[in-house]
Amino acid sequence: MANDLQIYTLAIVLIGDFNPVIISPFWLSGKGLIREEEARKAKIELIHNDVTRYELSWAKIEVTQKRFEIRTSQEPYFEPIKDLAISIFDILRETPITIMGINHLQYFAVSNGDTYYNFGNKFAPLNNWKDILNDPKMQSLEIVEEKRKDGLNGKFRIRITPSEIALSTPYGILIHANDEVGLQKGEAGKDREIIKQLANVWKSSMERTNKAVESIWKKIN
Amino acid sequence: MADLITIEDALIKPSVKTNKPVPEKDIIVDVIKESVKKRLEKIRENLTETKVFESTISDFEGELESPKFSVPSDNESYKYFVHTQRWIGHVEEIKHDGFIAKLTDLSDNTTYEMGEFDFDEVSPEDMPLLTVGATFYWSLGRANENGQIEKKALMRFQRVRPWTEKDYDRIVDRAEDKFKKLKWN
Amino acid sequence: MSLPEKTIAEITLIGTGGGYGESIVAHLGNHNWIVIDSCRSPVTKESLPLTYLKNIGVDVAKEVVLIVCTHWHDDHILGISDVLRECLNAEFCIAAAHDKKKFLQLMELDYEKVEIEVSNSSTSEFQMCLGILTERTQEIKRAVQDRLLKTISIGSNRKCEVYSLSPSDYTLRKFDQELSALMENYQSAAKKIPTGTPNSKSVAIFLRLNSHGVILGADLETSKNRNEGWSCILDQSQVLDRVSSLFKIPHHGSENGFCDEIWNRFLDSNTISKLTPYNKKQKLPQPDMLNKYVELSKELYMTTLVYGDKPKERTKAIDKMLKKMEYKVREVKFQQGIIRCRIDILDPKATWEVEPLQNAQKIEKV
Repeated sequence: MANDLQIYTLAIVLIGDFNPVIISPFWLSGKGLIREEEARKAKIELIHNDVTRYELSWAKIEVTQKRFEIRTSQEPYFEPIKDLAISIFDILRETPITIMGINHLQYFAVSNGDTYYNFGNKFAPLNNWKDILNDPKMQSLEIVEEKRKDGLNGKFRIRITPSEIALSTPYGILIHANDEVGLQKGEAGKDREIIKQLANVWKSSMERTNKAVESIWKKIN
Repeated sequence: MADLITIEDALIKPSVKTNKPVPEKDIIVDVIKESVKKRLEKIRENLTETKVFESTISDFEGELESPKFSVPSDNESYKYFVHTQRWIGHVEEIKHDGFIAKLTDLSDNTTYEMGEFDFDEVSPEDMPLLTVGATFYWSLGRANENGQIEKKALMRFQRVRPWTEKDYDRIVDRAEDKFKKLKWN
Repeated sequence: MSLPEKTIAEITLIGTGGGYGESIVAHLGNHNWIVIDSCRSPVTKESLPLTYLKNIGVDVAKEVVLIVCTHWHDDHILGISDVLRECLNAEFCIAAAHDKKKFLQLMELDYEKVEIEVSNSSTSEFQMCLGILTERTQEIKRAVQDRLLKTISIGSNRKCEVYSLSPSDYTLRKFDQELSALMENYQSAAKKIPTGTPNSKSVAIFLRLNSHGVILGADLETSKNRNEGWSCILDQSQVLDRVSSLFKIPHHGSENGFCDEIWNRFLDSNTISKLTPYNKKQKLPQPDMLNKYVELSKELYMTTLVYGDKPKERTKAIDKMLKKMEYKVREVKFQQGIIRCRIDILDPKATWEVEPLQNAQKIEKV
């Protein structure tokens, strides 16, 4: 089933107090965080006090006053987006950041309808709904781990929905894992606490998500 | 995905208010200003007041998630690169025509590998980063660029922010702190 | 595998195939053990000397009395914090620079890079050791030339002693200069500090087991400068008072680790030698050196004979790509080999009983 994976998008989201106008492509290349050529070729949508949004050849960045996001759908750039997020907020050290989410969006193109519908049936038995709804189908399933395994303040959440992106078959499934870490007790969010956590949990977030997805598919098959 | 206003779109629509031709640059500025204004209004509608330092995680549910992407339209470019084999490499030796690196498989952190690479694997802008001790990411896999599948190898040297005096001061202070606590015989 | 008797000395060399380090565990009588260096299995991540000791039934918390870290290289220090943590009764010994503050600064500089995966694993290990030692308010013993690190009494005026033969004073002063250079050259956040040669700071060990002698060469090399390396030991050491019959060959049997004079003056004609291979950028030992050691020794043993030339096994698609694009990628294989040597401490005429275990082998002439 892992072979049916067609798109893997990784997005890092930070919540805090940001100044969008600073984080422009030329600011990044000026600090040596991206190549100059990449800054020159960036597709800039907007750079403004309220919102900045642009696309590099390998990542998309969007910053509002409360939210920072960087994402890529190219696996070779998963570590570079992590490095970039860490470096930006190492330089902008005083930026208050209170929560981060590492989002793993894995899009699978399932070969047939039976497997597709079995997915929903497996995790939310549709027999329970047949007397309530006509021809029920699962549209969205979300399960949350309220207390993280690693003891950090935060959650781990998995949501399964049909894919909204057209894939190579009509039976696309999105498994979205949201790995969320907040401030720990006694932390105020003004001393890179969340950025340190980003570095600390990165590997385990990747491993955990891949194991979770593998386990989900095993249960289907 | 948000609309992207192109210069060509702006030029196609002359002003309707007068019969006099409007200078090109004014049309462009008007169109951009209009688009920015609309965008800001939209954003302001969606922004909520939050007390950042006193909030709990549940206040941000939804915001922490990456919004789902709209289906790429026919005009829009997309690049996906999956099922890659990825390594993190550390340069150990530089030769006259290439370099040798220790490679750690990012999906299998058991045994490591040694790799030999030519200089022409390295992007020109990354060449100044190629020194003994430098870190790079190396991937092999299948890229899908606008529907075209291509086998690709990709090497990118790690870029992190340079350290400042404050960083060194912090390092020295930490070392000093540890030194005081240690006993040597 | 079983525990040695109280008066049986054991010197066991653990090797990993040439890329994952080596370690020595030694029994000095009366259930007193020492651990010299540590290495980890890349698969299980366990400290191999610790696993060995536990497997044969050693009470590591009580019976390990000394841990020596011969030098700050990944292949000699990984897992040493686990050893220190579990061996509650053990003293800890390293070769530290004269300028200990600067040494710690370099450690901190490297440790700062952990977040971006550029630091050396050895630094993290060392930091953990410092944490444990601080918590225990335990002293760190410094290994210097001709220092007595441990004495074990085995009754009736008989004893076993552990001496560090190196590094020399000159080497330690040079280390201070190296530290400054390392800090200057590798202060960039994205550069990994190399922990390679020279190996002159390596701690070579001499064991006096009542009337028997053992030289453990670590990675110490020869040098043109007679103030460092083996030359310095030969010229200046006061503790090498006898010929030894067991020799752990230094620096993976390299030419740089070979010293004629040691064989002529401090090793007897019936010496049992053992070594671990090196299998990273260069392969050691080379065949000519191997033959030399075979000729010099009564018996020569090597922990493994692994020289891998292929990349790791992966999916067909990736294997194909590696081949088609002609990438030279070679796995550094892990294979554990153990060479256990035991001798009766009380019998001056006793000879070593050698047991090669797992992948270890006796070497005949190539």
